[in-house]
Amino acid sequence: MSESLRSNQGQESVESKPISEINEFVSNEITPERVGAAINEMKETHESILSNEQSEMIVGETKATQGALEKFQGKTKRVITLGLVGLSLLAASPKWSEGAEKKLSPAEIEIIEKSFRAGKHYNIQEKKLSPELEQVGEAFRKGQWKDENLKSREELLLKIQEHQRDIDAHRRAIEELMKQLKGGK
Amino acid sequence: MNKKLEDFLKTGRISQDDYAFWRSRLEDVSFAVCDSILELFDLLPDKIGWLRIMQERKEAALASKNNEAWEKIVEEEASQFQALSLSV
Repeated sequence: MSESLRSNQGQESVESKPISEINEFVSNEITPERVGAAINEMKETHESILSNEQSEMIVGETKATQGALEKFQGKTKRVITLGLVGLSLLAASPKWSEGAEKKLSPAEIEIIEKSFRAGKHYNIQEKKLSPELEQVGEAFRKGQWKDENLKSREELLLKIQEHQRDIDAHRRAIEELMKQLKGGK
Repeated sequence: MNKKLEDFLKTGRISQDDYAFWRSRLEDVSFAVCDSILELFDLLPDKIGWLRIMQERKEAALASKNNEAWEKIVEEEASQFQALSLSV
């Protein structure tokens, strides 16, 4: 049991709070219904940010943990619920969810792009590569890089750029969603 | 990354591996998300390593849309918080 949790619990006697503050806790409670509604709203403006299955999984998590959090009081329960929702939304980012190039940072993507343009092989150390990226790397290593590879190289670059756009869109969408959950009544 | 969160992670209360993991996950995350995660870490500093393991499993389950794996994660999460609530 952490001291942090102990101290937070200690500060939160519901009896000692004015009615207005208790009501604020109630209206600010992060319920599964609120999480579901916020995700649906986000999906209307940011289509394909989360699949239906992923949305259901995240709302299901909020439902399942609500019972376990019953004994925690207002603010603590809210902090845990919001934190878990934030982490799950983050875990659903295409940065971690799609393809093997998911582990590449924007800086690494930029290096790869520059290397490709210069016709050089970029050794992406300790990265798990997609078969597609492995193939390109292998062609470089064996000196088999030819003009006919150009099409697949451009396709790969487009794929990486598109992937980066998806990551950025996801980041913006979850920021809006978290703001809505934190601020909404 | 939100500076407050970065400072929190740098305090040395977490392992090098946990620091590297959370640094990579949170480096380009914007304010409201960082803020919520910081509050959670601040509340449960002893659970940051456990949250890391859960986060890796969540990433894999969400990527593959594996409901069975997800339900196990959620069950473990609920048990962990149930245990915490009993010790309060």
